Parts: sequence; C-alpha cells; structure tokens
Amino acid sequence: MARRSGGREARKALRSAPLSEAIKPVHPGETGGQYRPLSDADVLAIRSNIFRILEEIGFGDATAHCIETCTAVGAIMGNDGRLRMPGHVVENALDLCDRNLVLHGQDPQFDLQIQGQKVHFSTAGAAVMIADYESNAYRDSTAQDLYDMARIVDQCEHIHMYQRTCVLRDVADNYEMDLNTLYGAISGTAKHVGCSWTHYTHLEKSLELLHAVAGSDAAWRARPFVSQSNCFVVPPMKFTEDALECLRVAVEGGMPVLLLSAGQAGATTPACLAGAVSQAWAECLGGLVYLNAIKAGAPAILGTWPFVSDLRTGAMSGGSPEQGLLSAACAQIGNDLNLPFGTACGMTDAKFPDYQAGAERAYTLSAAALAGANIIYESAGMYASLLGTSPESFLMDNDVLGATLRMTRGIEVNDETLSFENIRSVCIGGEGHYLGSDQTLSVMQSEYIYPELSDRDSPNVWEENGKPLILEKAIKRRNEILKNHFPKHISDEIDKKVRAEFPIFLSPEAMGRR
Amino acid sequence: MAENQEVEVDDEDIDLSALPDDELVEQMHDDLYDGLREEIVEGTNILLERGWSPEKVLADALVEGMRIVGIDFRDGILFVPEVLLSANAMKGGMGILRPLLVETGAKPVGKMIIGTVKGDIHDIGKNLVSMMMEGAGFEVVDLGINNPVENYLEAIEEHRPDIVGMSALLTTTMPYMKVVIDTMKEQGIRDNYIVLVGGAPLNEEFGEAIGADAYCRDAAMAVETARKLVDAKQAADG
Repeated sequence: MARRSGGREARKALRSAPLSEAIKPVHPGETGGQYRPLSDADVLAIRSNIFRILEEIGFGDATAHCIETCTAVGAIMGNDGRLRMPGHVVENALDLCDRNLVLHGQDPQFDLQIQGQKVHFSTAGAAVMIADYESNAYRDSTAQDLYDMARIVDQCEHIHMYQRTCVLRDVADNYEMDLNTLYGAISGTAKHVGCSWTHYTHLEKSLELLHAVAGSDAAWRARPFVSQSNCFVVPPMKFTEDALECLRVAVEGGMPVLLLSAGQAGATTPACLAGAVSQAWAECLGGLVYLNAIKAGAPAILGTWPFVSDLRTGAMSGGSPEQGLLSAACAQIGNDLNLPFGTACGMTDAKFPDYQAGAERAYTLSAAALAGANIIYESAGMYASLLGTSPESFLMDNDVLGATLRMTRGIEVNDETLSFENIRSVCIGGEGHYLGSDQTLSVMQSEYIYPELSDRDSPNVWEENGKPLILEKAIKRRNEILKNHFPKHISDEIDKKVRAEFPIFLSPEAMGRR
Repeated sequence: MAENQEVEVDDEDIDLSALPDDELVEQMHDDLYDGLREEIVEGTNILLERGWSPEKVLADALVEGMRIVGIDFRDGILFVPEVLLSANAMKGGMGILRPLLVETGAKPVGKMIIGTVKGDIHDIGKNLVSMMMEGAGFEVVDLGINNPVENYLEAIEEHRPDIVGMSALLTTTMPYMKVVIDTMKEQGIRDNYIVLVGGAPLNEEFGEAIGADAYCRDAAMAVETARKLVDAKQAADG
C-alpha cells in the first residue's frame, strides 16, 4: 500500500478543503433524544390532554373550506362556531401523514431527511431590524440584507436551511415583498429555503416563479426546494383565514408546509409549561387534520414554537431557559408521535452578540437538540427576541451549532473506542502518553470538532495576534463572503427570464450579475 | 473544491536512489512531513553513500525538513500527532547520523536537559517540547516531573548540556525555577548554559525577572529559540 501522502503541498490542500464526509465529526441529522424532560407517564398525560383539547375545545374562526374539508373526515362543527376534532379524526390524520419528509435543496447535496430523531438547524424570522454592531444601532432590514444573509448561510456548514430572516422594509407592496423575499432567499443559497406569504394570490404567483426556476411545474413538484412557514393558527385555538388559504394553495402546489403554532406561554398559551406544550401540540395536530383532509400524505413539518412571556412586562423572552425546556418537551412529544417536527430555539433577548447572547443561544439550543427536535428554527443570528438579526452573527453561531451537533452525536462505545489495547501499549513499555499514538492520529478530526472563529489561543499568543475579538473576526469573514460569494445555481439566463416576468427589486448587479 | 480525504499518492515509482541529490532532499522533506521513518532512514543512507558529510545531511535534509514541519505546526496546519510522527522519522535519521557526527567531531545541533520543577507533576507541555527538540535534531535528556534543584545540577554535571529547560504549569511551582537559576549562579555555572523556561502561566516578563535566557510560549517556539541561542553560543565559543 502506498505510504506517501504527498508531503507539504498535499497536506496544505487537504487542510484548507472541507473535511470529507467520512472524517467530519458531525453531519446534518445527528440523532438526538437523549434529553427527556418528561417521564413516560408525563408524555401519556400530555398526549391525552392534547386529544381532549381537540375533541372538547376545538378551534374558532375556521374558514368555509376548512369546515367543509374537515367535517368530511369526521370533524364536528358546533353551534358555538367551533370546529372540534374527535380522537379518531386525529388518529386518522396521524395514519395518513408523511413521516419520512425530505426537504430538498436546489443542490441535492443539501437535501435534509426530516424524520426520526434527526436534528437539523435553520434560520427563521422575521426580524424587522438589523442589529448593526458597527454603528451600535438598530436599523430597518432590507431586501439586500435578506439576500446577503442567504449568501452567508450558504457558507455556514451547520446551518442546514435558510428560512427568511428579515422583513424587506424597503419593499412597500406586500405582493412584491413576498415575491422578493422568495427570490432573494433562493438566489442567495442552494440550501432548502423557508418563506411565508401574506396572501394566497402572492403564493400562486410565487409558484409560477418557482416553476420558472425549477424548469417546470413537474420539476418543482419532484424536488420542492422551498417550504412555507404558515401561522395557520392564532393561539389560543383560533384559525386564521389568510394563512389557511395560503396553506391550501401550498398543499395544492406541492409545497411542504411548516404548520406553525407560535403561542407565548402566559399570554396566548397557559403559563404552566405542561399546558403550553399541550395547547401547542393540539393546535399543530389540528393543522395536520386539515392538511391531510386536503391531501392525504401532503408534506408537513409540525411546528410547535412555544415562546415565553416575561411576566414582568408581558414581552416575549426568546432566550429564557423555559424556551429551551418547552422546545425540548415539544420535541419529546413529536418523537413520541413520530412526526417531522420543528421548534424555535437559539434566539436571544440580548441586543448584540455579547455574553448574554452566547449563553442564551447555547443553553436553549442544547436542550432542543439533545431532545431530538428535527429542525430547530431561529437557531442562528436572532437578537432582541426576534426583533433584530445580525449577518455576522451567523458565522459565530455556526461554531455554536457545530458544537451542539457534536454533543448531540454523543459518545460511541465499542471495543475500539474503549481503547483497552491503546491504554495497555501506552502504559506498559510505551511513551506514557497518547499524543503520538496511532489512535490519536486516526481520530483527531473525526472525534473532535474545531471551531472556525472561537479563540483557543493562550493569552500570550492572543496578545501577539493583537487581542482579536471574535466579533471582529466574524465581521471580516462576513465582508469577504459578501464581496466574493455570489452563488450562481440560478443561471443568468433564468434570472433574466424571471426579471422579465416578475418585479424583482434587487438589480442584477446587487446580486453579482452583470 | 477538493474534499479533504486521506490522500494516497502512488509511490510505487519513487526510487529514492534514482533521484538526483536536490530532488532526493526535497522528497526527504516531504517524507519527514509525512512522518515516514523508514524512508528517512533510506534517504539518509543514500546521501551518505553519495559522499555527503553527516553535517550536510543533517542540515540540508533533516533539520530543514523539520523546520518546515515547525512552521506548519505553528500555523495550525499540522496537528500534534502528525508532528510527533515527523519527529519520530527525524529520530530515525538521527540514529544513523549521531555516531558519525561524534566520529567526525562535528558540531552537534545541541544537547538539552529538561524537566518539570519540584512540586509540579504536569508533563504534557514538557513532553511536547522534548519531542519537538528531538525532532529538530537536539539530544534531549528528559528528567521527568517533580525535580528538585539537585536533579538539575546532577544532570548538568553528568550530561554537560547546552540548554537547561524547565517547565511548570502551576503558579505555586513556577517560582521554583528561580531557585534553580539562583543555585546555578551561586555555583558560578549559570552563564555556561542557556536556560529556557515555559509553561502556561508564565510570560516573557517572568522569564526575564527570574534570570532565564528566554521564555518559550510553545514547543515550536522552544525549538526556534533554542536553535538561535545555541548558534549564538557556538559562535561566541568559537
């Protein structure tokens, strides 16, 4: 067998390239489920409570289409105007639903298997401001910001999909805003994209744009690379008309739907966490009943996003420990129901990347990931309880997400990793340490993850390097990406075609095209 | 972009003895980099057979190769286990050269005694320095951990090193380095040796304050500093 590996030049090339799949210490979809905040009895009690809420309390404000479709599968419309779902109706939806969801990227290398207890990370939004560290101020977010953040996420290994991060406040018309949110996001990254729409007619036009980018309706339906984030419910237990119409159009158009229940404990869900988990799941299962009544097996992510109120003010607290705990408990229920599940964790109440931001992001993320949430939305870049987002933060958060995935992966125990022979050979007649052992050499990259931006230098080296702050390194990297990285998975030809048919806000030049 | 996979280059065709001198030396630099002990031993023997002096083999092929390894270790390209593999290959070549260098009376690269000071049982950093120094061609006598001043004095007497290296990880044990240096001063032998100190809580100011010749912040720096100071000492000694 060849022993030589090409010397210095080969090793330098190796170290500057991404790790091969076989060596990478973490992969998208590491298996969680180790953290179980609820006992088995707790899970049973909550599950029974969820079914009882659906059967006895039901939903207000169902649309005519929703009432017609759901009653056709056994839901009951009461004289009090509430749509109730008996247990067998919910069980039936659970039997019909798609449990092996694939979220496609425009590039198949970014396809995500949303199933079992596999864990992935996504951005989400929608921030209305940019936390601009360099000017120490918050400013309105723009179409350029959304596109730029997509390009940054495209370069972050541990952010597996890009759900729109901010509102385009420089695009006044809602139709144009929805359309440009979509086009900015899918132009900036070849990863799976999540967007939301304010009106179903906007979605209908957006589907035409997606067909143009995919090549045809059939090509889009074969690999739908955009999902719809849909707040179909306004907690507590009320449907909302515009979102239900968007949901219907998405299902009919072959677009996966994130069935999103975004209650806030203490305000729109009960202050007791067990009640908040129960209501969030009841709401999501109600959405699942409707979705499967429209089309059995339509792709969906069950999105309980159980936010938290700071009861001193009533304001939302995204960085609270209860946020992590609620998300973990919801993930445990999602695992118990074996449904593709997403939650929201990793945001912070801090205004800029500081101690509070890092700590809140890390402890909430760990809880949700270790509990086995399939997609953790809002896992990067979000500040001020989702009011602000920070482009450079994604680069720092990428390290946190990689570390969280490493913890999720856990420890493999087998004869080789137990290392008895290695311990014996080092201790008896060996060097007395493991630094140079074959095993250390063979696992130095696969067993350990190394941060890209976090600083592990000694104080002396740190001083010699000019005492760099992680934020300064992130801003430098951000500037490099924004200057040089203009993804071209959408060709100039298709871009021209899209621009001829739709009101695209950003100029070709702003998107790196001539 | 190329993926980072274990690259295996077909080396069946590389016959070291068929390479001209300059290409052979370059190949040896790569072989040192890849930590290939057998190949380094073979290359060393070939150069000697071609009439190269042991000093020239050492300087051009081995020390230069390890200098490159040191640079890439410092720059975070090479990991510790890889550097140790390189150092091990270097030792293979040194095993052949050392007796020849003694025979010819050539200037050795240098000799070092090194130990963790009294009260301190930490030795990862000290071991790393020790191995990197050996990898750079130095002869290293490792005194281990928890060394009272007597151990250093006995080793100095016995081995006549160029360098005395001391390591400490604890703030409570680092002052003991000064005890060793002060004792060397009392005995009038301090200036005969280069004293290098290192350890996580130390810094340059501390090294200076206790009268060491240099503080070395890591193993790569220790090698660089040792080389520089030994060259200067040898030049001064004529």
